[in-house]
Amino acid sequence: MRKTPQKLYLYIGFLLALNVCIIGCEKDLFKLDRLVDNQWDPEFAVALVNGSVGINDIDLTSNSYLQVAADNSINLIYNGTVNTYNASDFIPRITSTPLQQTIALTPQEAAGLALAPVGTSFPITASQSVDLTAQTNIKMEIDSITLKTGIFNIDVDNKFSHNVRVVITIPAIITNGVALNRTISLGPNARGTITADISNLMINITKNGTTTNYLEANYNITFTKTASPILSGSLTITGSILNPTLRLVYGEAKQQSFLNTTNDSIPINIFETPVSGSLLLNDATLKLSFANSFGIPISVNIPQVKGTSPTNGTFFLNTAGINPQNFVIAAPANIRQTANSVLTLTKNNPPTNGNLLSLPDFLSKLPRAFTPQFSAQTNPSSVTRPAYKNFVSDTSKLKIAGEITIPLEGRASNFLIRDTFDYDFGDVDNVESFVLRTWFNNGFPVTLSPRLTFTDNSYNVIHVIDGQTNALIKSAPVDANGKVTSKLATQSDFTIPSSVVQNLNRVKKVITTAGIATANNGNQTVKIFSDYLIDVKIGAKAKLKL
Amino acid sequence: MNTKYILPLFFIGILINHIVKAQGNLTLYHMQGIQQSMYQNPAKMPNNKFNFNLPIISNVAVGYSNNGFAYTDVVAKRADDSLVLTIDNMLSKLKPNNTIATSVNTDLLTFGFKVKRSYLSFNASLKSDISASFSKDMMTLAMKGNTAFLGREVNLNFNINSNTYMEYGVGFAHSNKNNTLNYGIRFKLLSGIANTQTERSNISIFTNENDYSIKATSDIVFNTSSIDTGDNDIDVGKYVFGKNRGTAFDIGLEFKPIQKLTLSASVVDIGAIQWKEKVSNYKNKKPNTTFEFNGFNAQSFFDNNNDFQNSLDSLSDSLTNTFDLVKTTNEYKTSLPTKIYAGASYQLTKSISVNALFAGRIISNSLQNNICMSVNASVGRWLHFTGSYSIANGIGNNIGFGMSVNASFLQLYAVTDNITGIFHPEKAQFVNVQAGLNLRFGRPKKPKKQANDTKPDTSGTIN
Repeated sequence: MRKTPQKLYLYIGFLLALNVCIIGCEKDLFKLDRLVDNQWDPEFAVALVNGSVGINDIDLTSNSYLQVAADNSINLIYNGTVNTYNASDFIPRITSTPLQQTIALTPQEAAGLALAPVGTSFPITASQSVDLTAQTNIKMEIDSITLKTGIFNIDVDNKFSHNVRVVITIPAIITNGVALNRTISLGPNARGTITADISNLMINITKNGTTTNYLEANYNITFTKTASPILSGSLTITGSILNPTLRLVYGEAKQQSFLNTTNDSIPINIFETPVSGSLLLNDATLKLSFANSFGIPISVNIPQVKGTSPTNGTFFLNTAGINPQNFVIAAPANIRQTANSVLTLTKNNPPTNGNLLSLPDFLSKLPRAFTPQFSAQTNPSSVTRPAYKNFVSDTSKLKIAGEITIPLEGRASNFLIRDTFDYDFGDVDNVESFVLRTWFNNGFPVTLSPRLTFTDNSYNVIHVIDGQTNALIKSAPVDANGKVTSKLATQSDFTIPSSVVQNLNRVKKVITTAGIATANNGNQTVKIFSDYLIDVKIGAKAKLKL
Repeated sequence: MNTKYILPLFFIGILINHIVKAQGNLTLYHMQGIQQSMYQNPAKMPNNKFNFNLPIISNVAVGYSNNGFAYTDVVAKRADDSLVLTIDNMLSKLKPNNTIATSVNTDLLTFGFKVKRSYLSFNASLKSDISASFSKDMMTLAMKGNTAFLGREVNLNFNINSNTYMEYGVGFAHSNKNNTLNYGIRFKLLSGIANTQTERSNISIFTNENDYSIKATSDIVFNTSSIDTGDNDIDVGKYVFGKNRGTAFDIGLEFKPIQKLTLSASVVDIGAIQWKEKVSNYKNKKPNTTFEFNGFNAQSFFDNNNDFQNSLDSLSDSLTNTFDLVKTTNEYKTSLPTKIYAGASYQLTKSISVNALFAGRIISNSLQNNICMSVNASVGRWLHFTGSYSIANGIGNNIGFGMSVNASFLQLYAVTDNITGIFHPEKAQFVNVQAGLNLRFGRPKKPKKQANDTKPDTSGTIN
């Protein structure tokens, strides 16, 4: 045990030396705060889009649809209501106070009342005949009016110093087989009101078939004399219809012009984005449909059909060449019925005349929308009048709709669609480079050559994805009739290198242009069928820096 | 506390701090006088009459191995002292299949005593190991992305296994009369604490080289015990002997055909644990279902009413269908990784011996081979050194070192299979350290020098 201290010193020394070594072996390699960022650069590939798309898969705007014909050819149809004229726009408005009369005693009547003993009666009569013509917004000769709702309100103001009893009779309104009548009794210098519900009652304003637009009222007035010596005074009778709503008006509308209001436009969305180039759509048609439930035949003339396009400005259809010029809209025979009339414009109707265009030429200018205008006349001379007179019911309307039918048949060359929209790539700091791979197996006889140009806010170009130089989607081959014989596959890779990726955060806008041409560089007329499909596969490779 | 005790503790702490993980120590097997070598061959018996070891202090073994790459294969320093990842270099070092493993073992209570020519011992030890196996393809996919595998299937097979348990062992070793043959056996009761077992892990991904469409299949089965409990409070006391029980045994022998040559062999950890407590089993709801993603439906891009969220939901459903796991709570069994040792030792001189060791470890029915050559040198009876060279886990060039210092009834020892890994952990793929402070009583007296100066026969004993 004497040597133990020496042994202890020895191994303590050894341990200290070992500890120094171990502590000293800390390396800078373990100071991970010095690790440079973004060195992990995996590259991942993933499919993005896959499937087959046909023309029927396209979700159109609400005012358009595809119509598949028996031979599977397709019409693209845009429609919309150009204008609607309701009964409220047409039928006469009855003034709210058709009757108003102030009755005073004639000298003879005043003398008679003076001689009458106190407490005795003294009768007089009066009447009123009102011409309603001036109270209607068209010069319609009305035989009868049936109100859906209405309260005849009669106000009597007695300015005499004697009692008065008034019996008011309206011969034009027959209720329970007799003319409408109401009685009111008033004291001296008193005022009172009586009412009559005339809902659903026909008001015959022909004065027993002798005229039109006349409303009569008869007043039987009986004074009961008081002790007052004053004989002067007046009796004012005011008749008004509260809350009148018309159900039916019969009469003669005569020949009147209308439809001078501004009409709505019908958008054609395939030309919504700015486009240029040549497009020939020979067999397009424009149908103007008129649904008339007024009991009035109408003749329509189309003074103008205007088209607008960002690239071609404003242009017009040759409406002067439309045949017929005055298109007659038939009237229904009975109320609650609708008579439909359709005017169809085709490639030959109207023809082009100078700057005024035929329908194909009109469409070749790629109108973003078209706006027709109309002028109309009631009861045109060319129409044989029916046995009955004109009628207008509360549900009568004239609805004018436009429908442009574009058969997907034609040819296009250098047809270019262009659009610009805001875009922000977001955070791409962790992306080193990017490759977009597209593969299209095209069953359509159309070549599509898009180009995406990424710019900053000042439209300085940052990068271009060019699908135009080498068409992204090449037209399928077609036979002599323009029908596709087989599909054609095209694969493209679009690389966004790291030198571009680092600038993508400056991208604020994307300008898209897409060139479209039918088969054989647009020299061949082709037809699109509903069974045409394009197979799509799109994938991407992204090299990240993490 | 006396410096005599503080410094060894400090020494152990530093070692643990720097080298976190270790695996079975090869150099230890032939080290003279370290009773912990009994764990590698139960036929070995200490020379002292009575040994008592302190909890934890007497034996801590930690290890780490990564047969794929070293730290310097991934991280490099540049001239400006900044660090860069050298992922390509790391990938180039990987083998088709790679394993990262760590282990920590310690004794909580150990004692033993001699009875004539026999030695009885008892140990209560805490053992823990974690290993993760992964393919080069899996790492390449993670590091380089799926474009590295366009047009070919990549298998992402991986295994994560961990095992933490208490071992209660009773050992018996016996030496024959002329000390030419020792044999021993150790029976062990096991109490599982926590476990993760990857029973099956087959995940494959195929990316089409043309359209980048992806197909993936999954067939995963793994089991856990006391891992997925949702309970953060682990009552260690409950696991001193819990419901996860098992048994194991070790057998070994030493044979001395000639005076200077000792041959030995052992098989340890033959046994298994039945995991019953807080068990979770996970497996694919629909194994080998193919997930296929060809991109979002082209038609949906032309449908104004289509909600992109619907497409995402559909994709999510498809992914879930393929990869969703169902959980059950069925008990399961895991085998201990059985080790096989075969060694030879030749006494060159009185104080120097040379040794050779083959150590195999059976994992998933395959044998992992390790070879170790070592030289032992003694300075009197109080200081022993060992130097070794080993090839472990397929990783060569491991220079090992061990030493023990005997002072009275105290024995301080430390041994590693890769001394350079301690000083240069950044380059190490294989590092282990085992160290401790043993209490030994009844040490045999130093033999008197004999006339013919013949070394006393110490075969089968740990001096």
